[in-house]
Amino acid sequence: MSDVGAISPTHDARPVGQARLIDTQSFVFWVFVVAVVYSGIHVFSEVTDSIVVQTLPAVGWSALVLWSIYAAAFLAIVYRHQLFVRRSPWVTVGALAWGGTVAYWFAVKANAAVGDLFKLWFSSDFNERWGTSLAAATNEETLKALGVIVIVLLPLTRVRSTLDGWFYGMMVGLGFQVVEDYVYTVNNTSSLAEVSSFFLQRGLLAGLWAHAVYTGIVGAGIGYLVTRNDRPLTRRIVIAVGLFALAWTFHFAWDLPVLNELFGSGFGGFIGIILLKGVPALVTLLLVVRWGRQHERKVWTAFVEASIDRTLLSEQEAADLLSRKARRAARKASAQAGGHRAKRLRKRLQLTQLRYVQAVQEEGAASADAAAFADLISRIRQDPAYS
Amino acid sequence: MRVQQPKGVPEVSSSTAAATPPATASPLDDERDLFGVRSVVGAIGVLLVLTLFGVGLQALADSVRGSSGFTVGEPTAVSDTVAFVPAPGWINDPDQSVPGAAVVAQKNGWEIKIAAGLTLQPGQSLEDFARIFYDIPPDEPGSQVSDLETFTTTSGLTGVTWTVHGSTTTTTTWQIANGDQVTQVLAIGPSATLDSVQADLDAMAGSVTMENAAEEGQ
Repeated sequence: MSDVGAISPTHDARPVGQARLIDTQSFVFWVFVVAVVYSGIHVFSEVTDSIVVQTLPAVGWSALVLWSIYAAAFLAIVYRHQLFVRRSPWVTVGALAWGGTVAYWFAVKANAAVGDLFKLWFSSDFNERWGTSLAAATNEETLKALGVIVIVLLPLTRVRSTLDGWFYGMMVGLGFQVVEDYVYTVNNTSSLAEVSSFFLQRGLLAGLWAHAVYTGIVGAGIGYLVTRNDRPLTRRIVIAVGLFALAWTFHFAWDLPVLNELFGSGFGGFIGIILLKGVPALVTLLLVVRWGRQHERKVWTAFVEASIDRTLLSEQEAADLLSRKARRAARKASAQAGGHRAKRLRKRLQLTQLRYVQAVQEEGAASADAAAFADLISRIRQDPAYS
Repeated sequence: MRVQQPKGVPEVSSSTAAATPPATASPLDDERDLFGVRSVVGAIGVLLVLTLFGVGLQALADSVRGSSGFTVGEPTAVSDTVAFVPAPGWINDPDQSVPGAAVVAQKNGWEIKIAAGLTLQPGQSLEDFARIFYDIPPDEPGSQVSDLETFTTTSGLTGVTWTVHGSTTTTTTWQIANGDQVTQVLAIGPSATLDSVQADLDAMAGSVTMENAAEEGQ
């Protein structure tokens, strides 16, 4: 959705279509449905079987509310980070569902099995010191990556760029992270104070560089692999595998007890751990997003030049949309010229122009959505307050 | 697709687009085919991965556990009062084991037997007891017999050990006492592969625990 990628207008001028999750013409979709329902039942059962949920409903509900708010806030932040397009809400829900049910539940099973294997092959001590981290990083990253691959395999989800992979990867990771944290909370707390403490520690301090970040990195690699057909296959494979390896390493390091021992158990140690383990993962993700945006910006510009009516989006207006900084500068200029209402109209115009380009790209210039957005652009421009 | 609009402007949504389908289908729609490669191979691939993680790994663990007969890292009972911790890769040999009295395990051609139920005579020290076995001439001519050395298990019990190095076979014996009760650990195998199991043998002998039978009976 974010760029035309391999489907360049010069090669195929047909609109790419709006993204949808439901696609009965794909067995992958039916596997997705069965896997989500099966895993969802098990996750629900695990939660309702929790002693805390059964005996201390207030604790269980407060944990649910807190983690739901956390998920919504995290989702809103990532959603706002989409520069040129808005990705499908339903595909987003699908990604969250995969992460929170399938990836989580199968990882629980796989981690237990691999733990048994490490104990059988090596020792309990080995499993505790190394095995748990090895199993978690390998099983969880693979199962979350599988969620992105499932989305890619569904033709109607319209995955067409590196950043599509990044976005849906983050959503899969976020679903996993929130469900894991919620289950962990109800299994390890018995009071509202403990719930708050867990939320602070796992959500706010440790959660900003956890599953969502890892899978965002992995998803970008998958997106790059399957959409950048203009690049050699070998290069795409190397980058996808490399990003997976990086995410795996961050995850492994985060779970590794031996690194925690280096810093001690106090608050200072916790900050040290975050700086050593968490910040590199977040920085890597931001670099990956920046790298993906460079290409997204080029493709968006090329599409606008080739396919967009310049009376609806002038060259200067298009240039003003290329970055958040440029957008803010344009709004500021409108504010200086016409006051607060002009600034608001400019913001609305920018948003409408972005949606117009997306509508042309997905549905064609003659589509109802494109026509409605074009009409809206004209009306905003005719507003006396808009200068 | 939704966008906030000024008052009086009709809402623009994907539903209005659905009422007016695009003139040409998306090129991505060309890839939609229930029985196409992407659909069938993709679904099979996803199912295989889920089967591996959901069932396969646990089946492998169960298989390894079944073939080993031990839970590595967890104490295995030899008798009511004696237990030891098997090392990784050692396989229980139930044919040679004696329930309640001895456990035999094997790895790399090596065999270790942990036997409980030996007792010291009144006034007999463990060293005196061990020397009876120590003084038995080796089966293999030219074997070198180490000194009789004392050692302590991880649970604090005292024991003695010695090794008979032959050109083809090596035998190491540990005898551990708790009161008048003695547990004997006997390891025998090819001298050539001793290095590969030495740490395991030491760990298993050192892991032996013996509860006091008199206290147990109270």
